[in-house]
Amino acid sequence: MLKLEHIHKTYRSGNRPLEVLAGINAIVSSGESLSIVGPSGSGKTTLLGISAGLDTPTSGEVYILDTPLSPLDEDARAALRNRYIGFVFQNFQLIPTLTALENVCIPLELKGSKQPQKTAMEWLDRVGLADRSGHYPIQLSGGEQQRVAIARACAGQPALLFADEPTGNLDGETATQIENLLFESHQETGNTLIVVTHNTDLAARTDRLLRLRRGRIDSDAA
Amino acid sequence: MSYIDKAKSDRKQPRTLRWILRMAWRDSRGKRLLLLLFTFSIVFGIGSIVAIYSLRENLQRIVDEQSRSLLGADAVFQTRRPPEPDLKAFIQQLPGEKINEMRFRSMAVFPSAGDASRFVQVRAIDSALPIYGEMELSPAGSAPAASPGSEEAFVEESILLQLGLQPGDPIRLGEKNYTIAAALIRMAGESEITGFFAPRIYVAMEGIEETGLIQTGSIIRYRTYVGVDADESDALNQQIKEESKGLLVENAVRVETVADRRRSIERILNNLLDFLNLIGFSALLLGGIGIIGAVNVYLLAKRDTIAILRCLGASARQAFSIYLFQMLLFGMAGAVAGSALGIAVQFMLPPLIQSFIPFDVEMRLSYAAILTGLGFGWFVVLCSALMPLLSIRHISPLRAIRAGIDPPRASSRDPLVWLTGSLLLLGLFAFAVVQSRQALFAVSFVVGLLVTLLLLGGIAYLLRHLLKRIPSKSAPYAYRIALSNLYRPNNRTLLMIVSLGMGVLLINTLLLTRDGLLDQVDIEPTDDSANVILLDVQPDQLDGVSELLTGSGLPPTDILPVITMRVEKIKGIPLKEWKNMEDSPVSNWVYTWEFRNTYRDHILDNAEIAEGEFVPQFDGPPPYPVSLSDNVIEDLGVGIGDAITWNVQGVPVESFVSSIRRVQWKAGRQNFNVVFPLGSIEAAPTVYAVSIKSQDRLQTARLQNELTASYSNVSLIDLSLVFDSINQILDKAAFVIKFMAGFTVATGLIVLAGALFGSRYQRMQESVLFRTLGASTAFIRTVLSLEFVLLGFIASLSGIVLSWVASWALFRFVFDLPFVLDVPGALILTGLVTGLTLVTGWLTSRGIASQPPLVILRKE
Repeated sequence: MLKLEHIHKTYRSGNRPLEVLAGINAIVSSGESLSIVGPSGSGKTTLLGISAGLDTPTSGEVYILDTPLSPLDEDARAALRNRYIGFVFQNFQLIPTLTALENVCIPLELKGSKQPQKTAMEWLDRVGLADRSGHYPIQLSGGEQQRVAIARACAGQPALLFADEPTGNLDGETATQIENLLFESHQETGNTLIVVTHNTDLAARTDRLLRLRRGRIDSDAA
Repeated sequence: MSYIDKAKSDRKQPRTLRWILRMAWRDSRGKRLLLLLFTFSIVFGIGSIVAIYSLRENLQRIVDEQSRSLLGADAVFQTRRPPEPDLKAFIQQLPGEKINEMRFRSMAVFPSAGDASRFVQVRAIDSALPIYGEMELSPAGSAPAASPGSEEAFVEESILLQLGLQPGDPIRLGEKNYTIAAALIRMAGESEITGFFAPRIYVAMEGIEETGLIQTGSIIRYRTYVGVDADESDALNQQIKEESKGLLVENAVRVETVADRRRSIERILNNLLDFLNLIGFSALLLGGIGIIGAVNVYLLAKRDTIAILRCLGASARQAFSIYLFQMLLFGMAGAVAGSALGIAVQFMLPPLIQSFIPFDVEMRLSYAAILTGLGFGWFVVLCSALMPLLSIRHISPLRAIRAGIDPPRASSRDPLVWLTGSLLLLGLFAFAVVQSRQALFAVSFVVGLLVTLLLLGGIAYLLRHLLKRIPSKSAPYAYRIALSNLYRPNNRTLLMIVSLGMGVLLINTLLLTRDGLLDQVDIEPTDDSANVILLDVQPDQLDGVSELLTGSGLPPTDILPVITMRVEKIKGIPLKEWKNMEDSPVSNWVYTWEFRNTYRDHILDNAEIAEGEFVPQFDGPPPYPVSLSDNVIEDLGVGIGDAITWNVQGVPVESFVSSIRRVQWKAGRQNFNVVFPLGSIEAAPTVYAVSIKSQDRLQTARLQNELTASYSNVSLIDLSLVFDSINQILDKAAFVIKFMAGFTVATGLIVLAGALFGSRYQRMQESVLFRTLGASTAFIRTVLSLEFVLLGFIASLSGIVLSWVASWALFRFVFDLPFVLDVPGALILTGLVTGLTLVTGWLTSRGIASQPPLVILRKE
């Protein structure tokens, strides 16, 4: 499903190069769940961004469904994200001017789904927010917003689901609810789940744990 | 098919377009008022352009339809002396109808108004006028042509209204009595202001000598109106053309044809409309700049949304299109509103300019103007919005997982931004060319406008900096916070200041120009200058008039001989030859002008010698040394030492330029263009101009009555009445311009409101922070008020400083007058604009000071 081959990422800090990722190699199989953990600054979010085609590596190649990303232009990568990738963000990242239902509809509408509203409503129902479909993000609690974000990420039935600190902004009880929701949908849809997290409980629930340290894989264990 | 091909093919274009439109509408939620406010920045600019475009079209149509009646004839010949036999013969042999007129200024006495007298323009005609068009009379109504009987007079309506007279009342011109047959409402081809200085009176030419007003030295214009059948029009023009450098120059004839009149009316209209257009353009450009700034800030708040959309699979083009469609939609609303305003205003403009144009303006809806307004307005919104919108292409989806990953890229580095900016300027330029039909004017128009904006921005920048530099440690805390608010991140302080400053600049320049021009004819009661001038006093009347004046307690302050003469040769070359020369340096008016020159042994205190030497007395033979005022030097094409031969009522008199005077022309001081020395032309036929200083209008009126009773040919000019007339005309002109300049001020206020509204959330955050730290509502209100006051103050001051520079340049280079700073006026304007800014600020900031902190903190 996802293959990372000699991924390097270097930023420039003034005149000095700053290497954030230093030769990452990994293969994630279809239907697998993987958590990426590591201390702050270890390169977790950078790796997630590059894996999802949001950013490009300085060198190396990312393959999604055997398709190399480096030859693709920005539009092609956007199309790929729309068709095969879903995102759950730490800050929920719902569009404030759209209702919960409209937020969930976006990937479906972009994809040209025939009945985006119906599918979106089904997903809102699944996350327990069917009665809040007409509410705007500001009218929802943090946990509710993240549930809408999960519905949005899953509604398009992506093959790959990336979650960046999905419980980072939530209290313990709400965080557990979100974790449950994330793994339930993972099991139901059979998608590949990649989670970047500091939360050890969440990491422990994935099939595999990739530990990063100073831009390198410190350990890769099932 | 690869996965990526499948992913791409899944996205069908029509669906995508529908989605973009839907997203554009959804995303505008909660910001629609703000977006409308942004695009409404152009409403007044578009409104004025539609109105002026439409007015131009309508005026052009009327000029086309009524071209012959604009002159009242096909051609008019005018001389300042009775036509010589050869000229008479030439005019006589021309085809068509001919009507003669003698036109001169005199005093008219109205016995039924207690012998009140008025300075008037008498027009004695030998047949019904006009040949084309109408003379509108009351109670007779409009007539194709009218002519008074030998004892009748048609009198300008304004006099009858002033003196409470009716048709049937008597009127006396010189020594002859007439009966007022009708009130003159309008004459074909003449505007309302024609009769402002000297109201018109039509009488029959037959018996005009009985008035005793036709005397030596009287300034009389002899006019002949010629009207021909349409098929003879070309032949008439051809004959005029053939003699234009021969017989007509020799006789100093001024000829005006329908084409000449049409050209001159079009020139006046174009000047007026181009000037009004300048104001409209500045409002539009300000609106465009307002949109650029507003969209910039709007997009800063939309960067996260754009990044999320990109994450979810929207392409950069789709994300860009969402916001482009938003701008197109709301821009159209702005353009429609602007056009609607323009339609409303176009029907309000004719009454404002009616006094200046010689025909009734019947406005018709101009679809071309409306379409132009819509199209051009939309174009300006689109280009202005496009410049900041282009930055959307650079927003990375990575921003969704890592805020601040892509700080806004400097637009100055994006070639597409430059291209769009250039397109906007090119569009403005093209529109200016189409409107004015003059490329050079259009270039200076657009460049001038941009330079003005840059200068305003520069002055505003300096002023803001200066305020910051002033040590403010001892200033109240609220003031220091308000001052620092002008520098908050993403502030649009300069934009707001420039928008408002432009309005102040226009209005203050206008007021200063008006006041400066009025100052030239204003005579203070404490001023030593004369305020009444008696004209055409004959030599044998001089002693009697002086005695009468002294007896009335108004001794003459100045008695000046006046000798009328024409230029015959310049530098030894006859005027006719100068006329035939290509690129002749001699101005056209000189060929037919009857100079009223004097001789004296001193120069007045409001003149100084700029070059050469003034000769007070000359006992030798001609050529005589003469002193010329600097304003005629260029028109005559002469300098120090150059010879001028004058034709003093048939006698050639040689002279040479011995000095050039720089004159401060001001009412009450009798300056002349040409001054001869004592001992030169005293023997020539002379009339006198006598200046007096009257205490008030009552004393002037009493003198007027005594004078007209004994010396009916002597005309009395009350300069305070001239002042009133000029004031009235300038007021009318200023009102039109102020009306249009108001559009710029309104645009400035909308841009200000848009900018303040756009930064409302930012100010709310600051306010909440202060409130959380314990600040009172009153403190926050004080800070906000001070911020608005500072904005208004800096904007006003910037506009005023630049208006001083502009007015100084106008006075120095256009009017050749001294410039005086008007500090009280500037203070009043500053107060007004600052007040308006404060009110606008408060209207857009309602609720900020009382917002509960939790609402904002929760949003965060």
